[in-house]
Amino acid sequence: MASTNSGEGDFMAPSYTESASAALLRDAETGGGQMRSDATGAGEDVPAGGLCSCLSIRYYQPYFDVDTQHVVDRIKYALFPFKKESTFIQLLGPNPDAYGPFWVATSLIFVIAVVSNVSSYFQFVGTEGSAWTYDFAAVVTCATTIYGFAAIIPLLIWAALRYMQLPLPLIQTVAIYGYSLVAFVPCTLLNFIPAPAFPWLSEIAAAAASVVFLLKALGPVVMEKAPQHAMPFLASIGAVQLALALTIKLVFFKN
Amino acid sequence: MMSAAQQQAHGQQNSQYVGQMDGQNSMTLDEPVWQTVKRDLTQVGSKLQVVLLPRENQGRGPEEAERLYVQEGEGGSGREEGRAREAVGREEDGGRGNHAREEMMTGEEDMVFRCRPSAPPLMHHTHILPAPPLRPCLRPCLRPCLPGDLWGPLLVCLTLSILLSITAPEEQGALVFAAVFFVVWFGAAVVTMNAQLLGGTMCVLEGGREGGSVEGLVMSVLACSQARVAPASVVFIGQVIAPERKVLALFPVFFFYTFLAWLVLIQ
Repeated sequence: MASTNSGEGDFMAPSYTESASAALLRDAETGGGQMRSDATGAGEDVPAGGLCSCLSIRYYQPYFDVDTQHVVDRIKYALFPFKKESTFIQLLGPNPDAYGPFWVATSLIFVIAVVSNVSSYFQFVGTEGSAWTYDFAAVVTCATTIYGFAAIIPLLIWAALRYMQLPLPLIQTVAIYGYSLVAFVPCTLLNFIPAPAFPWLSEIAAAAASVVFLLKALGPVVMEKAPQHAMPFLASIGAVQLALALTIKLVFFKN
Repeated sequence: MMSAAQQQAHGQQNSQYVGQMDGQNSMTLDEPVWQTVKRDLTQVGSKLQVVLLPRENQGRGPEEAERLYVQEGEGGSGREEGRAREAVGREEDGGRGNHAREEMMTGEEDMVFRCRPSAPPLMHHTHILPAPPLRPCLRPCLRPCLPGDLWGPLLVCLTLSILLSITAPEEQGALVFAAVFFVVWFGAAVVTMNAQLLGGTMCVLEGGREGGSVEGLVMSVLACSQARVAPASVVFIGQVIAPERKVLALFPVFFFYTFLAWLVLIQ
């Protein structure tokens, strides 16, 4: 297919018959996440922070260079990764973003916090003299957990890929993993239904959807380039997502 | 107010900050305390009014909205920030004779102009650039553009935190206070940074706007009624962000308000 959903003029869409890993590496080279700030930031305004350019907004701007339509397309792809002709990395194109991962993670935190309080309210069995109180500490725990997953797992994936000699830029793994969390949001929203088995089902479904997405995004490349490592790598990705789902269920939806 | 403008020029040479009302910084030491406090409260009140009753071009004609875009297109490369701000303050009013109009400047546009590396005012208005090359502030804009404008948000934030922590469960009162305070300030900073990263041009003074909008929530807490999300931020962000990214910049704002509203409603 020649056109991608992103619709950017300067993005060369490879034909899908090209081998996945070659396409991946070429996409990486065309600037999918390379530090563009060294080109833009060098001669220009030296930030007040002085030596460390990573303290300036400008350093991070290339990672937020997306329009609304791009983000919508990426989210749609992450929710429904079936029967798509292009890979997610091709959809990301030359500008994988950090906007999606950050705000998906933040929304997920909020949804978990709200729904867990709502579901505990529905399931509260009132005794004399006690009233339902909301649990605010859950928000803090939730934030730590989800942000931790969203920050550390991409690092691990990146490190593993480097070990397998697949130099995928870090921003791409951040984007891929961040968008894989999208599946958790609608599933967690349904958790307020007070059936005891329902949270299990919804979280497992969310984990399954996000694992399918991750396998589809990373699988072909790894299988082609480093098949001996492919199985452990993909299996551990599946395990991580399952762990996330179980954590959400067991910590925040205890009832 | 001619001496005020001269004082402003003088004061601008000495400090990076330009007071909102002409040379305020150099004058506040000489005036009675109650006058300073009264002026600050008036400013807070007027900004509140702007935020609670927002209109797209409040106090100005449609050409001003154009100017916001087209000025951005002209760019502000290489201008010293303080001088540019002062230039905006004087030139756009056509000289010294228009300080009454400056007083009428609404909070929104006032902040936008002050934060923006500006071009000289246009002699004619052409057309709105379709996709203006919005630039971030020349310096990392993580410091407020105007001191003294943060009193309002601080008061609001404290009020909200205190109210919510009083009504919180026993053992979580302190946690709720800290969390609400942190969320309000950090949320404002995050919204601003998000907009800057997407290519907008606003500074942390946005926090002032958010603070004022949160006031809407506070008042509804006091009135025990349905929380109301102020649309002021929508208007403001619509003016500094390219249209194809508007939703991306607005989503955090909406998210921020929803979170605070949830905290309020959960009582």
